[in-house]
Amino acid sequence: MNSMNLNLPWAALSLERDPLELFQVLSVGSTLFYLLTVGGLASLCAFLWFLAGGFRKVFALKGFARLAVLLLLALSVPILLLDIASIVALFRPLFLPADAVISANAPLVARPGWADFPLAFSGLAAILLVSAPFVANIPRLSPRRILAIANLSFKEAIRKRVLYAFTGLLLIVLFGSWFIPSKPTDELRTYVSVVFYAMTVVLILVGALLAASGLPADIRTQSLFLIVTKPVERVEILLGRLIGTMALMTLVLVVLTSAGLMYIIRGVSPDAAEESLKARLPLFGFLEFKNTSSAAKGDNVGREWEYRGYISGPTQSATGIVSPEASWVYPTVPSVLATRDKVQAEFTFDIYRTTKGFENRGVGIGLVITTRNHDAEAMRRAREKDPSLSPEQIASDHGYFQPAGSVTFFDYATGSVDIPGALFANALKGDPKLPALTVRVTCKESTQYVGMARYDFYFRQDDARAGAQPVRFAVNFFLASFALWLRLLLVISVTLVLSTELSTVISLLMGMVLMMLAHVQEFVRELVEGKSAGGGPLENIKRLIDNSVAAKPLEDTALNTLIQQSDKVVREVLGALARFLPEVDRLSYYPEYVGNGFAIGGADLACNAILTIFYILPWLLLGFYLLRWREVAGPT
Amino acid sequence: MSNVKVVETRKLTKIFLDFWGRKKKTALRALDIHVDEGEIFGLLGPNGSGKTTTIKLLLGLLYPSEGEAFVLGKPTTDVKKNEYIGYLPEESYLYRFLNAEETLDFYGRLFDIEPRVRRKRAAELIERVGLERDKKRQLREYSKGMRQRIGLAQALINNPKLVILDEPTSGLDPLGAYWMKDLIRSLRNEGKTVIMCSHRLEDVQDICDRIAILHEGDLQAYGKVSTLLQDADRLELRASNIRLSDALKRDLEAVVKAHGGTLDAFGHPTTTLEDYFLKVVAESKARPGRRFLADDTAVQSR
Repeated sequence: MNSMNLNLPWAALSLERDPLELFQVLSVGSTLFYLLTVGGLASLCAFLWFLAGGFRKVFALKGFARLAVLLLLALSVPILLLDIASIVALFRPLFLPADAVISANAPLVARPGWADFPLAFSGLAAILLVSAPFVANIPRLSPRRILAIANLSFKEAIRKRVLYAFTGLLLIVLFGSWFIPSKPTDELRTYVSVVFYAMTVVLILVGALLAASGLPADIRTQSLFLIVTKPVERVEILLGRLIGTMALMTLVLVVLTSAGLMYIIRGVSPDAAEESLKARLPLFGFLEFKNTSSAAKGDNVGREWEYRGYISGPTQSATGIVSPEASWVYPTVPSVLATRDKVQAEFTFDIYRTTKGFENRGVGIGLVITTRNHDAEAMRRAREKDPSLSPEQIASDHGYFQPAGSVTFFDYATGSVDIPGALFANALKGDPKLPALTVRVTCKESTQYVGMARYDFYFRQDDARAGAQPVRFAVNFFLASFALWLRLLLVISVTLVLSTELSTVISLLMGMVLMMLAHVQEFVRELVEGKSAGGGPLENIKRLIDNSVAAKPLEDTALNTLIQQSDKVVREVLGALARFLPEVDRLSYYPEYVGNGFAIGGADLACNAILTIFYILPWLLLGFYLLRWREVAGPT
Repeated sequence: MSNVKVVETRKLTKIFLDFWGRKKKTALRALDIHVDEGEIFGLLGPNGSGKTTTIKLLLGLLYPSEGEAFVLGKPTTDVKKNEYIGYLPEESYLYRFLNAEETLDFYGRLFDIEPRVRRKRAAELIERVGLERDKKRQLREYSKGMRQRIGLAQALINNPKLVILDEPTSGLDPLGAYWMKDLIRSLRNEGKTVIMCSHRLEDVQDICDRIAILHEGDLQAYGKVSTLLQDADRLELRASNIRLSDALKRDLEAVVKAHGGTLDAFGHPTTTLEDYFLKVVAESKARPGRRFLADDTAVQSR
């Protein structure tokens, strides 16, 4: 039986980062991290305001309000002290020996300790304190006024014809893949990436421009005078502008997504459509390792990006030959898989070679799938009794499957195996406390390592033989578009808030720089951790001036020591600032799913939506205060 | 006019600071005034005297450095006071990509007015300011006078108790200025309070009940126009149905001298140029096609 397919180039999704799950985002650790970060910032702002004259307003309050504010201020003191200590700590490298090792930018609550809870409570108090005026404002907000301003922003962008030039440009770029030759196997990937790349660049630029220009233009032309002299809460202006700009960009996004989708569905060749125009629905298990240095992470082969754990081939140990193993455990399996004749399993592994391999020859692996009802001894007896038992019968009766022949795979190429549906029927039976299914992978070659992560192996929940599925593909395409919408929301909100105080150009530049930094977080992290080539920023500037290569150590002079010590401070500051960068990188990955024909996980997208909203909230609060404190008119 | 104080300022001071918080300019110093319900109050002063700053402080566009101000009994920082205020700025800061109807609808929505009431009021105001024929044109196509009219309409969309007008007749032709003054008077007749600041002193004199004169941020004069302008050292005599003659002059000199005064001048009074201009335009409208030649003879050309 030929159940093995290799090098399936149509689908080569290789996740470099785990998709998010709701329990992670809503976990205690994430909540503590949020409260400590945002609360820390809030307490610092609250106390600065208090010292700058806010105390007069606090003492002018009466009764419960004054008591509540004073209580929240007192509760915010611990997190304020932590803030101060953190700020002071940024400069500690200056007072440490030059060769002292500093663990830069360790996440504050990687593993929450008991001390974090009172601090997080203090952070919560600080957040409540700074949000109280905003919350008190909410009953006074009028949807009619907010929508009036939103409608105005919408009309303004349409009638000022800001969009037209950009949309024209975008339409040309959208069809750019006509001019980019691609192999049939890459066709859909190329189409999807061109469409999304063009939409992302142009829409984010237009959205940021619209958000950055509205309020400063109103202030410059003094049109804002007429709005703020009406019974309009300042935050209504901010919300109205945000809703208006987002409504317009949503409309544009829907139109462009529909145009792009039609273009792809009509333009893609029948072969590519048959293979890629779908949305695979993977069923993931939980990965664990056996006979490796770590049960959770396998062996470490020294790759900088520690996403995958590795297993080696059989090794000799004191107790005999040991075969390291990676197991995917499936606590349950959906019953729909049991009704199928065949269920496709797909996998993409990494090879870490310790000896030179052969051209066009992959690495051999062992693949065994067992259910909770599997009894090896009973199966052995049955096989002895009837050697002609088919794999389907063994799967059905004994909960066991092993592909016929040798299984080899190539580096980062997706392989697939057809599994009898009967195996899943067997897995549905038995003790529900035991895991329904376990997939065991071993490396057959002793001099090679195979790297794998949780999402590198999955069963196809959708029907792998269904051919083109344009509707599922279209839904997936729109989900990726929703991720772009979240990015637009992020950029527009941040730029809009900046524009309440800064000019159009400065707001736009700052918004774009923030997004760029967020996109190169990996690099920022490397810089913070001191892993970047040529040292920190100051050292690199020195190297540029001296024209010296990055690999050469700096000479041991007083100036160079000062530069390197100062770089450590810069890294500490960068590390602190990096905590405030949004996670846009995750949002940019969805077109990869679509292009490779994988369904976008609803939970992953929901997590990103939650993260985006919680990132925006403090920004909107900042915008509320900036507009509230701002004198709209100037001296003339 | 009643004794209800619509606006009251107490030691109202505005100091502008630079980026570093250093004092840049004192725009207004300890202003103490009040405006009564139903009056037209004028703020006068040369450029930089603090009149626009006062208006911006009353509207909440600026925040007081010291002192306080109340509008309709509420602090100027209270947004709720704006429900009863109509404001026409010096320049028309309206959105030029909207037409007249959309403009009034937009500002009406900011007052949270019901759609039906909003539409009715907008239609009435468009008619009142004479823009019915142009209500569908975008404001970018409007002349200065038309923009001032729609600006006034937006200031009245909420049927305000207090109307604040910054240079309402600035940039208007005499007909427009006359129309504006007439409308301001009608607002007073409807019981509204009006505060206006203007450089055109004749306009202020024409329509204001009381004024305040500011100079370099200080209040210099404050009171009823008629009282402030009264010259107690001089006497004005007006008579009708009488012609100038030497005998009359001699008699008048004798009477004035007998009471210890001196006759400075006497003659026929002159009207204001504005009145004369309005009379000419009115006559021209009454007789279309009539024009004057250089020798001051009228001809009917059409």
